[in-house]
Amino acid sequence: MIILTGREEVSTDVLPETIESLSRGLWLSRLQREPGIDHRVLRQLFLEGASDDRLLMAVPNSLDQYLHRDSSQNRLAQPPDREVVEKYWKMGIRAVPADHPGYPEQLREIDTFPLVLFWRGTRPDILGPAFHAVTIIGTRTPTAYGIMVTRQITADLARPNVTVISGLARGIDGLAHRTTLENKGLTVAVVAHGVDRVYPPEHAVLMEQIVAQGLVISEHPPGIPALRQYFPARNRILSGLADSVAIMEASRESGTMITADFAADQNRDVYAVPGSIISKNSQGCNQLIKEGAYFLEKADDILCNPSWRVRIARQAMSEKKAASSTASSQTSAPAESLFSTQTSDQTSLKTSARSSAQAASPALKTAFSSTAQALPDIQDRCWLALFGGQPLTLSEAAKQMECGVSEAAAWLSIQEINGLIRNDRGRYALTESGYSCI
Amino acid sequence: MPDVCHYSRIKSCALLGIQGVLVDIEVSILSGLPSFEIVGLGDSAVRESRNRVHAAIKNNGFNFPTGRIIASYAPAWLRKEGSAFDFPLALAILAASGQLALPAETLCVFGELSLTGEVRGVSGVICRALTCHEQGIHHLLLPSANHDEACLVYPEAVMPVNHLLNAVSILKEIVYTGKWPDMSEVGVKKGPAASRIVPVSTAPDARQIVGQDQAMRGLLIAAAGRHNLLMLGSPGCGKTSLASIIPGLLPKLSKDEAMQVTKIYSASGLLQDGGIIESRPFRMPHHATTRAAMIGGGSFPMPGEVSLAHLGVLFLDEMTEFSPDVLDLLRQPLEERQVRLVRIRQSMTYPSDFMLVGAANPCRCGEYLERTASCRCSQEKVREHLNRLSGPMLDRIDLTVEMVRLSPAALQDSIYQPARDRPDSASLSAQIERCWQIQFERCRSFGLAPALNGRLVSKNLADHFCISKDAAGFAAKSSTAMNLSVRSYQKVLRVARTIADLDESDKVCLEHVAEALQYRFHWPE
Repeated sequence: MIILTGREEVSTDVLPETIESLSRGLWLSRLQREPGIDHRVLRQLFLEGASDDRLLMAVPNSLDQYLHRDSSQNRLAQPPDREVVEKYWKMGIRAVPADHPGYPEQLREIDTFPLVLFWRGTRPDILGPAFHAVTIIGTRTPTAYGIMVTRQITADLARPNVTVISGLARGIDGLAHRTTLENKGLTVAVVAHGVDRVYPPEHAVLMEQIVAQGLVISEHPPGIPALRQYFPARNRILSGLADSVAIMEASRESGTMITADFAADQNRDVYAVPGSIISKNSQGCNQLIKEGAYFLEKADDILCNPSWRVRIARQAMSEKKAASSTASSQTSAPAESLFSTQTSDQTSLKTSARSSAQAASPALKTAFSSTAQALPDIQDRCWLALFGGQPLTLSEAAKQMECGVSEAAAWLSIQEINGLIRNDRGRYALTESGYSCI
Repeated sequence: MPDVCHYSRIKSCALLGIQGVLVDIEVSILSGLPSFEIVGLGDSAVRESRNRVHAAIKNNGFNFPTGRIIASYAPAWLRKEGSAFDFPLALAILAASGQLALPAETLCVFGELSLTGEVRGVSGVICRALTCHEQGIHHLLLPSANHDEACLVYPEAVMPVNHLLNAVSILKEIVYTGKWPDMSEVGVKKGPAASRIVPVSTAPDARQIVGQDQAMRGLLIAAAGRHNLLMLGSPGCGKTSLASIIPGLLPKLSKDEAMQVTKIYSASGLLQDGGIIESRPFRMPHHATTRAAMIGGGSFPMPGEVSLAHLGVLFLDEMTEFSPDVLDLLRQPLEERQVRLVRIRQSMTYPSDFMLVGAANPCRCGEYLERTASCRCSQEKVREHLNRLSGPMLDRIDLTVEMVRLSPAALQDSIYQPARDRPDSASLSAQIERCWQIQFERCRSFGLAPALNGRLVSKNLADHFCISKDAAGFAAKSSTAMNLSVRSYQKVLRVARTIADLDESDKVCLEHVAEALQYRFHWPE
């Protein structure tokens, strides 16, 4: 948990938990739901980093002003009701607007990212870059094969640094959540209604369990019911939050296939478990494999895929660079919020975010300490991350580590003994334990 | 005219491997039908020398004696080979028939004769001269073609001649005056000539090697401790070029070592310019080399490649193409530092203390280690290919480096990167020399015969190598983690000691052992 001090502690890895964020989030979502609002203009202004006053320009002038009533703009300029905000706050609902550094970066990259995310839960860090996010989805009416496959693969994915995301729907989604919880893993549920509600009703207990061990996320403010048209839109968030999307069992023309399409558009890795060619339930998966999805047989296929390693390696390298260089304050100041109490501190948000990125949040540290071997320190972790991409020869590794071949060779031997690096065809690559260390 | 006693005796020197042996040549002329026989287990060249001697004597106006001539080369059980006995035989025949008087003091003569009486050079002169020196022969009569070579070891005794008549007149003068000629008149050349077998200047400079940092480091360690090195890589990645710079890196031979090497080369007839060899030999036999050429042989065992590489480097390019039995022959010299050749009548031992450098492709297509997935060899095929190197041979390889071709980016960098950033042969050889000094000093301080780490014979490696506690613990842990045999474990310790010496550190620390572990041989998984 982030302790609220006079000066806000901001980290890029964690969703924020301030009442100001909740307040602003509620305001933004109200603005979004205003009838007649031009979403394109709104999004454009938001991307430009417009201040909240300017965002109001997206609201069309209504005829009210000609009838001498309060214009919509004046009405909307009001912050949300303090009582309402506090009521939601007490329910445990939080929000993160898209211009906050804590907003999940991979979601912001998609074209139609939600301007605000509401969440409820105890692990605000598991959508950060240190976790591999895997979305597990599938049909609402799985066969025994689908059930078995989901159980097997999801159980293997329950690791301290892997987040399983799913949609809390009947069938495969719910099973994925349950299996992850049983195996003490981390899970996030993305729902198509307000986070104070639950759909389907039989998942009420499951939702509370998820809140206790993970996160429930929605783009809709609390109070919104689950309407049919919200589900396809929710699917884009399901794939947008993830690094990899795994489809366990799906028939043609199902909602799962819509998510797979989103994933392909968003350039995520799509994995599909093949099924029997005479089973209607697997036709969607088989089709995906034909079209180029990865063949998913076991969890290792996802975890050992090179593209994820590249992201981790890049992340580690940028952490290292940030650690070595002094924090610069060249980033632009985020938009002035109508509700911020510390306007001056907003300008240094980015710089403090950089410097605090080094200190792993307490949740991460406890996750690592559960592994038996000694923790590699930050230098070792950066160097280990270099091997997360393509396997490297000793000369290449020495060049990237910026030391001589002797030191590189000595370090590699030690890591080989520790079981974190292996030698394959004259090149060095990470073992599974190595992956869990970086 | 001297008395015709029908008997004469002269000393000569035979060559047995690289060792000279004094031989007595006796000639006795008996009555009977004219014949000329040589006894004493001579080979065909010795048998043919009858004709040469006969023609040379007759063509110079001497009388060839009639009667039954028997020439005996003693000791009779020793096989004699070569044409070096022509000259002394001719002198002995002349002496026996009363046309020449031999001086009273012992004189050693050897040389080949042409039909006109010219005295031609022979091989192995240094060895013969050394033997004469040891045996106390104070005068040598030998061909002037071998004058330089003999002067390297025994300049004050050498009398060069180039014709039979020349020799006869010298001997007459000696007998008449009773004095031996002062060698300064003949123009004794002192000191070694300036020629070498592999001139250091023609070995390419280490600067020319681009990239391949790991391989250069491996080469440095191997040269610094005289460890055997294996380079695995695809064709064209630079294995042969890397090996070709080795002659420029190794320090010069010491005086004793130079004499040993020169003897071997002289015995093989490879010492054309007659100088002492100063630089370490670098032999690169072709992979079609026969067993006899590799290890030494022939009915009269001549030194093979392993002996010609004594105190130098034996580089086996395309090691997997060598026939397995030829490779197997290398085991004994690698282990015992000498090679023993046994023939029916005698056995000979040649020294062969060389550093083995091998280059091989990792698989049949050679692309196993490359990043591109163009290697189609299955695991079985790769194993089969590497099995040609044979387990015991691999056991004697101390360092293995895997090399890959330069990537296009690295190639481009190499053009623009200034060459002075790369180390050159002079600095590397200075480093190696310093490292050798450290090793010799350590051997001296422990009272051992001076030897380099790769060659050190020691009952207790741990004591002599000054391994620190945590390094020893780490080595033990790694030997179980990496399944090292006892021999591999010892090899790792030796290499670690060399790395520590390159680092100029007294104790072997953990990082030295850790680096040494990277040079073990990996079987493909």
